[in-house]
Amino acid sequence: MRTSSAFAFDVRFQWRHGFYGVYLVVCAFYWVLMHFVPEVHKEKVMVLLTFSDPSALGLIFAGGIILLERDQGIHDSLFVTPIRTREYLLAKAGSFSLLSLLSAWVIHLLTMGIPESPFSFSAGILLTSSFMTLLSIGVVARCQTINSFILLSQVYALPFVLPLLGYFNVWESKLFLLLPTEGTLRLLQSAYSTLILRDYLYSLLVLSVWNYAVYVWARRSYEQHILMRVGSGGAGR
Amino acid sequence: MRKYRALLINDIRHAGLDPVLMAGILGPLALLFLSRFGFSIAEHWLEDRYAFHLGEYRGFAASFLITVIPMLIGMMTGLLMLDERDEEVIAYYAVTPLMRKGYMVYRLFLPSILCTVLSSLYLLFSGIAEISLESLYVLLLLALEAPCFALFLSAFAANKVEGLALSKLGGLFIAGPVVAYFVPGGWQLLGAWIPSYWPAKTFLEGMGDRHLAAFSHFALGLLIHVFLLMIMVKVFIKRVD
Repeated sequence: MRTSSAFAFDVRFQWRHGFYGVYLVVCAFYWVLMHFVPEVHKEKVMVLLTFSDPSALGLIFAGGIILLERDQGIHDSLFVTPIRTREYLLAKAGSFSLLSLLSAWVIHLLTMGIPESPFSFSAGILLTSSFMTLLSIGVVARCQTINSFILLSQVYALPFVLPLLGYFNVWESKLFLLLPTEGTLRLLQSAYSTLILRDYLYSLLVLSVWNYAVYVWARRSYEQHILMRVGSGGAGR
Repeated sequence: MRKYRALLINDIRHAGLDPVLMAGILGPLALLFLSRFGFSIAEHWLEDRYAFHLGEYRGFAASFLITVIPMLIGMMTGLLMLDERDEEVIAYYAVTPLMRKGYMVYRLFLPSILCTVLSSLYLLFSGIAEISLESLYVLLLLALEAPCFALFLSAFAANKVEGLALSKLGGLFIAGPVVAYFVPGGWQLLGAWIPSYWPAKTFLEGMGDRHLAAFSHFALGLLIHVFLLMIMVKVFIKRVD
């Protein structure tokens, strides 16, 4: 119940701060852009685009929200209420996943139509978005300013874009199978070709394991770096 | 000048501590190195593997990468200003001899100067751009563009979260050079509302030795940039008040 209230609050907050409006413009931009992409490259470009933008939008935005909440001293009072860290983090991950899912579907419907496997396409977006959001929270706990957060988040996210090298046949490695984003790319490709059961289960498993791991890390980082310093002036500074 | 010195020293000290301020300098330098050494490698690789002639797009690559410099520096400055506003640091500056106006002048001139220096280095040493009289036009437009980006975030965003959302939109302005190079004829007018279109177009006209066209694009671009700056300065002052 508390998680769903926090989730609804986060969605409203994102709406009020123009995230949905911005993504409407971004979707329109990608729609125009895709018109200029030659037919033979469309599927590859679409997977790259969905992977790098709607799926990963939480990476920057979630951290920004937490920095603002810290400046406004919201964490000082938030955890006096019955809400738990787990519920707070899940609401953030869930709300960004919803925005990712909506924008990815809008872009896809406008440019390529309905994905061949809608469920696995959606699962790829949701699990990647929650992973990126939780990663962002773990990173922002270690930062003081928005600029240092943006840089550090790129450093942390860098290893996770490596499977793109395999996707574009630049460099193949079995090690990429250990990264969650290898699963993301397979699930996103299911929009154009049927995914075999083994690949499907592998992708869900690798993304779920990484989601759990990054959740544990984000929770610990959040509790150690933000909650433990609440009330020390400047809300956690 | 003395009143700005304290702020500058503070920024330099922060640049050492805050890796992103450092990245504002290192980022454009990385673009320079990428163009200088990476472009020819990519050119050979693409030609061998896909028979794609990247060399034909040398002008476009240079105009695209050089417009990233003010975007990078401007957005970082904009987010820094939002950080300072969220933490109410601007209110502190307002009661020092610097005053609010001095703070704004400093915050907008620094990215402008930084952008001019780094863009000049890019033009001189990237190896993919050609130097001509028109380079001066381009530098002036780029110098005005950096504070435009900074103000785009700090004037229209209520806080850093909205600033991040706006920076997402600002990132789309990278379409300016794309329109300037690829879009045919009268359709180019569609790109006229994107600030980065004007320095890119001036640059491309200069590379093609079309001096009059380059000057007209520069003059129009200058008017648009000054107009945008004036509007955004007004909005920013209103918001701080």
